[in-house]
Amino acid sequence: MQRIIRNKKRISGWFLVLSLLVLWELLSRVNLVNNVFFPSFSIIFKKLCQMLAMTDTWRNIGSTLLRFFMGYFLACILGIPIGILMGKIRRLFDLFEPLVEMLRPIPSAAIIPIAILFLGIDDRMKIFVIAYACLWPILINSLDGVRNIDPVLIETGKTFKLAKWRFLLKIVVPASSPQIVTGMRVSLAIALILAITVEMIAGNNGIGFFILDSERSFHFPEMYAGIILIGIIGYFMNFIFLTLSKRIMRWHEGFTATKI
Amino acid sequence: MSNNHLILRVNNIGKTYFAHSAPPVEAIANISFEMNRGEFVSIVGPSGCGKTTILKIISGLIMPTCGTIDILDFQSEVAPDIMLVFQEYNRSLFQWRTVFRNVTFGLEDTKLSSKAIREKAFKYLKIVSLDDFAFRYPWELSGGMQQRTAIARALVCEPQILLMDEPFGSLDALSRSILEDDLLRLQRELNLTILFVTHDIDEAIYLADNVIVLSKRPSIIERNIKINIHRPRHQIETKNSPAFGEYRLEISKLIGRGEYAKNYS
Repeated sequence: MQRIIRNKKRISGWFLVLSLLVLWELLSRVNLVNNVFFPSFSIIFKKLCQMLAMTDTWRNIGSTLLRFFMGYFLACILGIPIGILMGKIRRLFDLFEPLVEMLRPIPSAAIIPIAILFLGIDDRMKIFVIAYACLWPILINSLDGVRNIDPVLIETGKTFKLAKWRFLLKIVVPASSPQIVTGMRVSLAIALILAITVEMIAGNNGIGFFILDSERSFHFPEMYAGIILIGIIGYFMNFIFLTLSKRIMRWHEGFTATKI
Repeated sequence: MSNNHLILRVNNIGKTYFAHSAPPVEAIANISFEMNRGEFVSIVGPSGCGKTTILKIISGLIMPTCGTIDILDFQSEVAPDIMLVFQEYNRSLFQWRTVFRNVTFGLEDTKLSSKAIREKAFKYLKIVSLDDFAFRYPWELSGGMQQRTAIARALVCEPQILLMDEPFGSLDALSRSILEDDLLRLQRELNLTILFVTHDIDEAIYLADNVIVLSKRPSIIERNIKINIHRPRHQIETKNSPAFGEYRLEISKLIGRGEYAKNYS
């Protein structure tokens, strides 16, 4: 029953999207907006379909996604363990906390010039920038997740007299996992933003480069198609992430739902 | 396994908590007592008298400032000898694990085969009548069932001593009396040695062979009272027997330092 109601609500949302697309189409067709800079949706859509039939487009998607995943993955394998250890070991927290607080507020795009200086303009630089930007939400959330574990749970765990690393894996990690996942979700969006940004600043392939290149060579339908493409990719990425995390975190959804 | 066999000796323990910004708090002044195998001992006392501290010291969660704990007769090599059941079952259970996997937790790092672990877990799930709920998550169960999960999780380790920190304190009255009787049955069937902390005088007397009455902080043992009420006990008959009433009055006097007793004697 509830699902039906939800689906109905969702239908009204999609209806709005559809109406906006129709409005766009009309405005552009009657030339109320400049249809060179703002081509009609049908033209863009046709372009998008044509693009998807070209291997070049797929190569661009591939290189963007590759850097995206490398950077994101790097941020996860660094951020989660460092965050957990900082949350668990007081001395490590005291050592790293000022550094983290100093680096974290710097907008990630601002470190691109430094990254270019040291790493050049190839993939290494791009992956580094993505990883750097994604690191902070993951690290901070892992750290907070560990520090917020219920003391009763910690004491319960201690009564089982586990070895330290077993304790970490069997109690600390699962108990802080909801917040770790939250950090990973925040960084997922950041990774895509940075992947596009670095390609626009220093790139010769990827969707970000394609968008900027189309704009500079006055291929506006291609430019819009690229933007839509990246939107679709972002949507599916988030969708896949949510589906997976909901399945893994089913216990947490239920637990928080019962705890009002 | 014969009873009247010394299993735990608490020797002159004291505990003072030191804080950075506050004056030190002496929770326990000096406590000594002994427990035999198969014995059920309750600890009662006014709130804040360090009841929980005693359990935490015995379980090894915190160190005493002075004194020693002797646990005699170590036997199990596979699992912890002392298990502690907390009042806050919903905070103490592993919410990411099903009931079954909560219960197997203490056995996972042992040499037992997975088949043996499974059998053992189901044995104890049956004992607490949760075998039908083995693959539910804790939050899908009622409070009483959650606490029974926590008890099964502790029992499956077959501890020499089971420590319980106001385990029924957050349950409704009905679940509470059911769980009290369940616990007495378990204790008899499995010959458990139980040290039970509560602030409820009736509960302390009803369950125990011995009731240790603590003083206010810094606590000492006000008196160690042997409860000579035959077993099995019965919620209504036992609690309405004259002997029960006398114990209740005696302990109330000790805890209330006369104030409670003045009104009721």
